Amino acid sequence: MSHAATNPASARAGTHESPAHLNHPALKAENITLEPQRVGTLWKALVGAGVVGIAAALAGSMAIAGGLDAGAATIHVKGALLIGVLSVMGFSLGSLFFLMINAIGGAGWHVTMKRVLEQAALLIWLPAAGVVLFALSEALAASNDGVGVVSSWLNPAITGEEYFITKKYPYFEPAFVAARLALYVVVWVGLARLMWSISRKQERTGDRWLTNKAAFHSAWGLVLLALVTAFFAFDWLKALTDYKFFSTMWGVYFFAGGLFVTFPAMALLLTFLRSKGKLQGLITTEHHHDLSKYMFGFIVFWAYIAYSQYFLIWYSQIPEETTWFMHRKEVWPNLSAFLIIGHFLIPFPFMLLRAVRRTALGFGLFACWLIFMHVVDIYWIIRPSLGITLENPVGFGQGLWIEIAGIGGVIALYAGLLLWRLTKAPLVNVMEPRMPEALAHKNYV
Amino acid sequence: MSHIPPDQLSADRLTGRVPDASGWLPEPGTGDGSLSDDPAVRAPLVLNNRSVHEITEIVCGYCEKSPGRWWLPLFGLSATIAGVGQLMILYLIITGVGVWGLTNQVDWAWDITNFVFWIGIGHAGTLISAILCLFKQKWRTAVNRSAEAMTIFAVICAGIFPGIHVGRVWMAWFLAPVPNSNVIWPNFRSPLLWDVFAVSTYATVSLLFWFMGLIPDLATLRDRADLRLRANPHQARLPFTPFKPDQLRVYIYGLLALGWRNSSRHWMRYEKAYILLAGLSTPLVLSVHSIVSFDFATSILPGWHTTIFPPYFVAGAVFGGFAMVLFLLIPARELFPNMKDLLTLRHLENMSKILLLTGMLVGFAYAMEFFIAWYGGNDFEYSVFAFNRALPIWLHEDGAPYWWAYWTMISCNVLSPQVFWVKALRRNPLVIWIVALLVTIGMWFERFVIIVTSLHRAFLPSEWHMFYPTWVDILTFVGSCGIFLTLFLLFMRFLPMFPIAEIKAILPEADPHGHGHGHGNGHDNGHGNGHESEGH
Repeated sequence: MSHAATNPASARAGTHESPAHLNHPALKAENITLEPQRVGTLWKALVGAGVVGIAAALAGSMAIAGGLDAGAATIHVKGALLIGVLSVMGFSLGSLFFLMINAIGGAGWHVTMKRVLEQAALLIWLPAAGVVLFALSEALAASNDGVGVVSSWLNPAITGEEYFITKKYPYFEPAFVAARLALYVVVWVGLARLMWSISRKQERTGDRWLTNKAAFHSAWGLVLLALVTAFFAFDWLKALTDYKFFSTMWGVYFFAGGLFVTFPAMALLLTFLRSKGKLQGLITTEHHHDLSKYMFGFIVFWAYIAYSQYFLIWYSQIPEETTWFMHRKEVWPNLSAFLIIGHFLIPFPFMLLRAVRRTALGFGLFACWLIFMHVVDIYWIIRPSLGITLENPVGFGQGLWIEIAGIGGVIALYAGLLLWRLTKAPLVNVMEPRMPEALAHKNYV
Repeated sequence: MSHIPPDQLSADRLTGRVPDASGWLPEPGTGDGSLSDDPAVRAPLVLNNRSVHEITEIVCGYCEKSPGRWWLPLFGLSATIAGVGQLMILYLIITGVGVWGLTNQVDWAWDITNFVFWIGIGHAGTLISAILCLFKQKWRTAVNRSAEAMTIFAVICAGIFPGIHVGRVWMAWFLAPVPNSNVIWPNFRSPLLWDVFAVSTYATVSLLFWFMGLIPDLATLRDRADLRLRANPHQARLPFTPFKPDQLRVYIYGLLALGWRNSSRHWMRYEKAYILLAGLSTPLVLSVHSIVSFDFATSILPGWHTTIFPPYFVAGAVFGGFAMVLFLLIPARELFPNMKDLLTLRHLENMSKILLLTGMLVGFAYAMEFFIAWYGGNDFEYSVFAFNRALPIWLHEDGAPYWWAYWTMISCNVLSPQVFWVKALRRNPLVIWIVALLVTIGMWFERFVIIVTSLHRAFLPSEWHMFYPTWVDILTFVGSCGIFLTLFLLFMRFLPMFPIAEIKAILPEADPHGHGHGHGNGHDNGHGNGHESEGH
């Protein structure tokens, strides 16, 4: 470093000088710009498929209402849409977390994929809006004699329970629930926008000190993000499925799932962009290797968290805790077994292999599988609870195509919008001061 | 003998009173020169333009030269304390666990508190070595060796307590699943037994990891002693022995170096083994403290049974372990010559940030426990948190007599690291040292709070008892601190405190990409401080 560079005052004076790495051939505009015409058909097709899928699920619920009571059909489709929304939320929240943790860690290797992460984080508004819509429909259903209510705590049979009223009602006071949800959404969208705006501003001005600003905002932001996400998981996954169930691990479990899906989704997205001739020399096998290591790491982390939670509840045999798992174990035994096998046992040995980690075919196949398993995980949390609030539960397979249309529709809509967003800004912020590190990133050094 | 530049000169250079050979002075605001905030430049990890030879001289000098006048008195003191601790253990064994303050109600107290406390401290070493290695955090090289050593010593201290608390200590071998004439097998359903396996596996792998890392450095010490002997065959003998000091060094370091010859084949296998052990140690770091947490969380005792315990204990262990690393290394940095070149303010700042992060992780866990105790709707669970821990007895007649323990824990673990939000404070060694001390105290209290406040009030008020430690309780714990410090002082005196080869690998000249290209700010390599990344 020159003497000038170590002196904040003189270094800041030279803030807007353009970094030398700008001449790097990989940073040419055509390599980092996703032209709308390259993916125009694809994103429109995905959004179209999403809309059709969601509409089909809604229409289908009315169609099967003949066989079921209306309440059960509504619950079914709302549940399916919620599963889709919560699945894609994992990617946005995971991306936001990964961005912020890398910012405070001062990481350099990831800056060539940072913009894609920022775009995914920015799309948090979509799942957040999905949850808000879901909450509104729940409030509407509750005011309509409780027909079609998914959330256990809104069920009239439960809100009248003395135990519930004395113990927990303050937490589930509708205004308080709504206010909390509003807070979660504001924090998520706010933090994602903050990260986005700092990055865009750096791109415009070339001010490398904005990297430090992002680090500072990430520090307090992570504290908020952790709290808000944990309580979101309490409200909209845990309490939703069983108001009696409690587990201090729950927030960590949801977080682990979010990061579990983030890395495979990133790997697929970056592979797709590279197949379009973009990010050549910017995202290399080395970056994919590290993403695959993270994939592996969070396969293990998820298993660790899921196992600890299940094991401690199983071992202690306290009825108000075990019912949640008992229901899944006894009524949904195959799904539960499939979760253990598919979410952990199958990917674990393969993701250990360097060959799988470094080849597009290897990590690509497993990325698809892991994304699928994340959806199964959310499905396993939400779906078994949809039947228990009604006399006539909807078993697995009943109206499966509605679920596929609903979940797939939400995911397609999200993917389509993400692709569309990627055409709106360069795929890389060329002014990143740590760009040289990402360009030279190697695993064997 | 080793040539070490006088300490005063380098200290003056670092504080900017004297420019170094190239005329470089640290700029204001960059501390010792390692605190540059420029995101385009990585802070130097080794200061003062040290060459590879100088690094060997500095690190080997710590084991080859007399460490200074402070060492022997401190060693004598800590060894005495350790001796007192061993006398207490002897007294316990010949008398019985009744010499502790345990009662029928509070049947675990300081013993298990100390066990969990020491096991926790034993986590930073492997975390720094293994996990930071996997994350390619090059700054770890300044602290990994001493942190690994600390791990071994802390696990030794931890291992004492479950061993001696069982009552009939001579039956402790029953913990091991060995065939015996009574066909009595350990209870494999008990997490206490899993602890035996978890801790012993962790101790074994940590020891292997530490020792394997030491081999090349031990060979360096051996070869240096050998060279000195050849250069000067007429060295004075050690008093009352037929040995010359360097002869002893050649024998002992040579024995431990396992025939290391610095061949590239050795290095290749070393690197491979290192990364494999790092990979194996990583799940072990998580598993050991998770299983320690199972000791409590598998029970149905209010205050113990909560699902967040495994990751919460792991976070707490890392927190306590890093605090201990800072607590020991900040004074060492002052006492050993030139150590500030290898362990810079930036290293301290990084570790302060980890303290802040892990402090908030345990704070998150405290908050979640408290919230779920209320949300779960179980009166007993809630009353443990509200009435056994948080609510002071002077505020409410049913309040907690142990309120001070709970609030000590909260203030030390959650509040005190918050000072690190301020940049100037997390870069001030004295402030960091005080916080590290507070955190160490707080982490002991955390385990005390978990164990004693949950136990001291059972479901029937007639079973409510306070726990009062006896002098044996207190002196045993103090003695374990003595054992730890004694072992650490011996380590500082006789073994290389830094991984010599690994530090050389983070010097600028080891960077295959060379210098000056790519960072894009026209910085030259003026005073030779590496731009090696501290965190890719």
